[in-house]
Amino acid sequence: MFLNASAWTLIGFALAWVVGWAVFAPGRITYHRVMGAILLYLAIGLTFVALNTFVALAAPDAFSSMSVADSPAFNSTMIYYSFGTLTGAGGDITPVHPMARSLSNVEAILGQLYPATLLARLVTLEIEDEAKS
Amino acid sequence: MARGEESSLDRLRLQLRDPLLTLLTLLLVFWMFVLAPLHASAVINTDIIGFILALAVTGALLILSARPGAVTSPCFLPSDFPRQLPGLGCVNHRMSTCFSTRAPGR
Repeated sequence: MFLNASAWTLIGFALAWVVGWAVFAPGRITYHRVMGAILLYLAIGLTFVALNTFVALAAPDAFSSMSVADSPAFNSTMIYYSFGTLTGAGGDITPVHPMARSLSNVEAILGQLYPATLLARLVTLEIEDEAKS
Repeated sequence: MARGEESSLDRLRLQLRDPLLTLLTLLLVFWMFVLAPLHASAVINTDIIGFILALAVTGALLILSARPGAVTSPCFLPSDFPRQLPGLGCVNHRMSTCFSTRAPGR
């Protein structure tokens, strides 16, 4: 499971890096680049799935209402928790361990600031570019 | 490779770069929010679909990054991965046969 979490961390960072370069490269902002920015948001969530898995593996009681097990259901639960935290929707799973709480705070801050700043800026630029052409 | 061929490849990459972002977004959404729950609840066996999606994501990343190293990213996946998310374990199994640097038994 540590290997799985490591793999997902690497995949998440690689995806964020490559897509970040493509989205924020110089040039006209198109609809596709806005979609790429949404992909970057999803990649952030995916990376936090892996990081939260690390915390859950190190401290099995780090999250309430969640049992750590080597199964596809656990990964699905982690995706649910990570995107619930990222979007601010919350849910029935709560972080209990200080490290899990800290990580969730970082994720929630990123999840609120990224759409409000970078994504909004990209959409504005896309509208401006559309109006010019 | 001749300079002309390189420039046409670069042009093709630049043409494909932006639409690939949309394609990757749709693929990832389908993968995480449709395929993974179906696999977790064991409704259907999604290994083949997951494998095709993993190949598509890897190919798209390769084109986006323009670096051949991007294709090696599935090699990091451990061999018991099909039980975690559909498809990627198959990629790992196939890739591990290509690279001798991996430890046996993983």
